[in-house]
Amino acid sequence: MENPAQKIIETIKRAKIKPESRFSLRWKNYLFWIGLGLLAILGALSFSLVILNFLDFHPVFFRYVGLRKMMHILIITAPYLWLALILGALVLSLAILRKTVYGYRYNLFLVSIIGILLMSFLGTALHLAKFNSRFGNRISRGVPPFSRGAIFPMEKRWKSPEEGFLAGRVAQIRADNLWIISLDDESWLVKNSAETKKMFAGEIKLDMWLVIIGEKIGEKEFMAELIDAAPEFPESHPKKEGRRPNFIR
Amino acid sequence: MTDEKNNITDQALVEAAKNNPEAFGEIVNRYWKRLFGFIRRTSYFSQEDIEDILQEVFFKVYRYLNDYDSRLAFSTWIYQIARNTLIDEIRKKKTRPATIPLETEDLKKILKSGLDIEKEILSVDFMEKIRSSIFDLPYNYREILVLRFLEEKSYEEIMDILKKPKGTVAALVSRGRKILIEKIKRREIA
Repeated sequence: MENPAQKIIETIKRAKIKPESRFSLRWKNYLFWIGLGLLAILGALSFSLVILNFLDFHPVFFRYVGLRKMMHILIITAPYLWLALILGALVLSLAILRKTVYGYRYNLFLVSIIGILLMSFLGTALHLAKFNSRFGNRISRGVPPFSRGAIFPMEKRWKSPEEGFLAGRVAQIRADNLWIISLDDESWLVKNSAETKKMFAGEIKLDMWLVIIGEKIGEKEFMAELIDAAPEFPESHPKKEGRRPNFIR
Repeated sequence: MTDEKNNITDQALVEAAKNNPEAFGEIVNRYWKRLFGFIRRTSYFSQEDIEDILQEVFFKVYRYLNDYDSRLAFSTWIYQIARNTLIDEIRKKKTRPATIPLETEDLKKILKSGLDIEKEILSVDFMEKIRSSIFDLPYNYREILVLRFLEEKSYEEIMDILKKPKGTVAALVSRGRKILIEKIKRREIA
């Protein structure tokens, strides 16, 4: 072709071709970055709810339950929904990042580590700002009972007397035992001894919600080793289900 | 091309071309031959087809001038556009002429040290077999071998042109050469 430059310039002038604006060429890339930001927030929020799901676990419980049982209860009542959301947010972020203009330059392993750290830091910040408990309390009002276990599995934890975890409302108080109505609306006789440790100041009162660590010793009988007060819903809560413990601290 | 024109950087030309299409002519002059060679070596298009593809490439380059990011070398960016346009054309036409316009020197560069080329290089039959071996290579290997050994691009530049991670680029180069040499050996020409 003779003088291709001249021919191209003539065509550009004749067709009035103009360089397109940077925004019109990059809008998709900007959308990807907005998406990445939103996924980071989703991952951080999920992380903060994972933290929330373990807040009912006082470190002193380890001494009373033992490592094996503790690990078992943690595995069966882990907040898998939130963990899956973190993983999903991470995987989707990596896929989107790869689509950005320079996405191919990033080392996926390194980016994954940075992503996890970022979600952890942001999630911890949300927890320190108590955003997770406000969010948890808000969504707990509208959650149907059948999906509650997936969203807040810590409740399930306190319905496991075989594992040494029981929670319930005090129905009757005697000298060395008390009757409670468990989260499954069952009556349990909770025995205590001189070794039983109480984690809160003040007396055990009727209608109070308790969490109890100990051992199932018979049909609907439980030997308490440690008793703590269960957190309750804030006063502003509509209490549709009656007085229930609220493990969202 | 005058000396004065030679001293202007690609980036300065890009800035000038945004407001004045005449300045874009110098970009076309600088890259026409190089991109022609690249397309000729990686595809099977006729000269006329390549010229048409190149025109399309330069129209795109002009329209996308504002997208050019100085973090990349301009040559890398223009190769990216040329490569994408070429792939679009290959998909559109889906035709492959029977000959591969690779010169003997090109083949030597790709195969250097893999085979005892010098002993065999004069044999017309040998060169034809190598050509047909390259013809058999999947497009991604052929393209990467051309970029690495004929266009003499670094791994970083190839990474930016193909938009693939550096590790993938290195693996493709190595695997491409290996496949090519194995094909040649299998044909008992080594």
